[in-house]
Amino acid sequence: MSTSSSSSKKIVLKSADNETFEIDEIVALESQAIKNMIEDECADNVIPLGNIDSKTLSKIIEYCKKHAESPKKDDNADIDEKAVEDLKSFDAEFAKVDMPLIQDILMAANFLNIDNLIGLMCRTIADRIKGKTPEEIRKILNINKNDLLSPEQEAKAREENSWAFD
Amino acid sequence: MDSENDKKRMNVESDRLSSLPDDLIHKILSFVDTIDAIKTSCLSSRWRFIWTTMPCLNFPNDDFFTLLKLSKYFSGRDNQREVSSVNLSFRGKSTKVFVKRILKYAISHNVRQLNLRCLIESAIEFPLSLISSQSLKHLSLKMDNSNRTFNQRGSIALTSMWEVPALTTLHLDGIKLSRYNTDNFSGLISKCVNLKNLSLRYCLMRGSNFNICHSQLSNLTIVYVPPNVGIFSVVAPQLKNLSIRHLHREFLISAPDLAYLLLDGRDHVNFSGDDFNSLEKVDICITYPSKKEPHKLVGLLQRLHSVKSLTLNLEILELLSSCVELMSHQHSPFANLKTLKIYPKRIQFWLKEKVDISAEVKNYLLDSSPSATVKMVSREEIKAQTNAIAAKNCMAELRLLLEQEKADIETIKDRIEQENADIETIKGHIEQENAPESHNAKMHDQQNAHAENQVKIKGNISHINSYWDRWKEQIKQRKKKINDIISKLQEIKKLLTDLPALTRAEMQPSFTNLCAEAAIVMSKITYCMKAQFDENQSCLNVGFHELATTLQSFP
Repeated sequence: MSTSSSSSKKIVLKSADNETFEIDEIVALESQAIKNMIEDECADNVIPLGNIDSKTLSKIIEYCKKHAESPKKDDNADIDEKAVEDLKSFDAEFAKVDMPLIQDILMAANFLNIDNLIGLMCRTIADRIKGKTPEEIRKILNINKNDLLSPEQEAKAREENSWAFD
Repeated sequence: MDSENDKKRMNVESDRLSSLPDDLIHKILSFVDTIDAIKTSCLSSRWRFIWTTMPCLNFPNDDFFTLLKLSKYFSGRDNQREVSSVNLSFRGKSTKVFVKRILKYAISHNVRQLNLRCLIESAIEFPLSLISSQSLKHLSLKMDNSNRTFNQRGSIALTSMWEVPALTTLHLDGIKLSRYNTDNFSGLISKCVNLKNLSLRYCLMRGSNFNICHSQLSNLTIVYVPPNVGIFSVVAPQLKNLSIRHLHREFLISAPDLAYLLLDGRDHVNFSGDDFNSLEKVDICITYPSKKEPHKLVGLLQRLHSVKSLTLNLEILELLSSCVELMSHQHSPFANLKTLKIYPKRIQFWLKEKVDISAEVKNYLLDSSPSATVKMVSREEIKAQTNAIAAKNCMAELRLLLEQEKADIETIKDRIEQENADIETIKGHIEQENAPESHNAKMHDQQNAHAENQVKIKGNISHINSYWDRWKEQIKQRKKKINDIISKLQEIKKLLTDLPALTRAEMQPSFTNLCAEAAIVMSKITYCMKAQFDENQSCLNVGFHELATTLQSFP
C-alpha cells in the first residue's frame, strides 16, 4: 500500500523548537503550501516552520502520511470503499485530542493549506460546541477573558437576536 | 522573557481560535445549526457579529424557522455580504413561501451553490424559474427517499424554464421526473450552456427512451436507470469522463473524446455506440458476468482498443477463460496498453483464492502491448485487507466494551457501599421493632395474630428466595459479560491469525495491550461479584434473622 521507497525524494521540516522531521516528498505534497514551494523550487533542503511546534507538527505529519498512503478516488471502487472506511476511522481517532491541540493543528493546517485537515478540525470543534450554552462554549474554547462583552453588551446581543435565543 | 510577559503570551495564545481569520470561524460555524451559530454572538466581542457575514447558509430543518424568524435572520445579516452556498431542506407546499424567500435572498446575493433537499411525501411542482440566476454554478436537487418504498416516493415535476447561464454542475438524486421532463431532458439542460458536470442518481424517468444531448458536457455520472427505460442514449461530443453504475439497461453512447470510462454492473453488458479513440483509463466491474453473453464482453473490450490503463474484475477473466474459442478469431485489441489491473470483486470463502487465467485470455489482452505492466490483486490479498479492517473494528468494539464494563463496575461498587450502609440501619430498626411487636400481639385476638404471623413467615421466605434469585441472575449476567469479552478476544485472535505476518506484527502490540486490559477487567468483574456476594450474604443474613424471630413467636 505504501508508496514510499528508499529512492524517493525526502523533505525536511523544521519546527519552531528546532526539531527536524524527514518525510517523503509525497507526504509533504498533502500540504498545498509546501507543494507550491516545491513547484516554485523555493524549497531548500530544510523548510523552517517557525510558527509550528514539534508536537503539532508530528501530529500533522501523522495525518499527511496516512492520507498520502491511502489510495486515491480513481482506484477501483471496491478497494475504494474499504479505504474510505479505514480513513474515516483514522480521522475519528486522530481528532480525539484536547482543544488546545486541535486549535494548534487547525492554525498550522491553515498555514500549510491542508484542506482536508482544516475541514476535519473545524468539524471537530463544531461537534464539541453543538447544543452547548454560551458559558460552556467559552470554557470549551477558552475564550479570552479580556475580550468578553460587558453585561450590557451581552444583554444587547441577546436582545438583538432574541428570536434565536428563545 | 519576564513572567508578566510570559503570562500575557499564554493568555493570548490559549484563546487561539479568536486569532483565526474569519473564514475559518465561518467554516466551523458552517457545521453548526444556524440558530446555534447566531447564539455565538454573545460569546465575546470577537464573536459578536461573526455570524452576520457567514457566506454559507444552512437550513437543514425547516420545522425550526418560521417566516418571522426568517425575516429577522435576513435583516440581522450583513446585507453587503454575498452568499456563496445554501443548504436547504424543505417539506412540500406548506413551506413554499419559505423556500421562495430563501432562494430569492440567495439569488439576490449572488449565490454560487445551492443544495436543495426535499422531504416531501406527495407530488409537487418545482418551478425552475425560482432558481434562475446569473451567478449559480452548482445545483444539487435531492429527494430524500430514505425509509420510503418505491410507491411511497414523492415526485417533483420541474416546470417552467430557467436561466442559469453560469451553471457548471447539476446533480439530480432520487428525482422522479415527469413525462414532460423525461421527454425534454435535453431541452432542459440545453439552457445551461456552460454545464460541465451532470449526475443522475436513482432518478426515475417515464417512457422507454431517455436522451442526454449536450455539446459542452464533460463529466457524466449515471447511477441506476429504472427498468421501463429501454434505451438510454448519450450524445456528448466533449464528454471526457463517464461513469455508469447499475449497468443493466441498454446504453447507446456517442462520446468520441471520452478519456475515462467506468462501468459497474451485476450481470448483463449492453453498451454500444461510436468508437472511442482517446481512452486513457477504463474500469469495468461485472460482478456475475452472464455465462450466456461472453461475446458481449468481448465486443465491449474490442471497442475499448485505445485504452492505456485498464482495470477488470477477476470474475470477467474467469468467464473469458471458460470460453477461449471466442477470442481465437480476434486480434488482441489493445495497442496502447500501459497497465492492466485485475482484482477480485467477490471474495466469499468458497471461491478459489488463486485463479488460473488461461494463456489465451492473457494473450488476447496483452499481445498487442507486450510491455504493459500487469498488476494482479488476488482474493487472498483482498481478504487480508478486509480481515485487517475487521480486526481493527473488532478491537475498537472490545475496547469500548471494556470501558463500559469499567464504568459499570464503579457504579456497582458505589451502590453496594451505599446499600451496606442502609442494611446497617435496617438491622438497627429490626432490633428496635422486635420488642414492641410482642406487646402489640397481645392487643389482637389470637387467631388473627396467628394468621398474621403466617403471612409474615411467608413474606420472610419469599424475601430470602428473592435474594437467591438475584444471586443467580447476577452470576448469569457476569458469566455472559465475561463470555462476551472472551469470544471477542477469540474473534480478534482468529482474524489476526489469518493475516499476513507483516500486518499481524503491526497490530500485535495493541492486541497484547487489549488482552492485558481484558484480563484486568475480567478480574474486576469477579471482584465485583465477590462484593455482591458479600452484599447478598448480609441481606440473606438479615432475612434469616427476621425469619428466625418471626418463627420464634407464638401469638
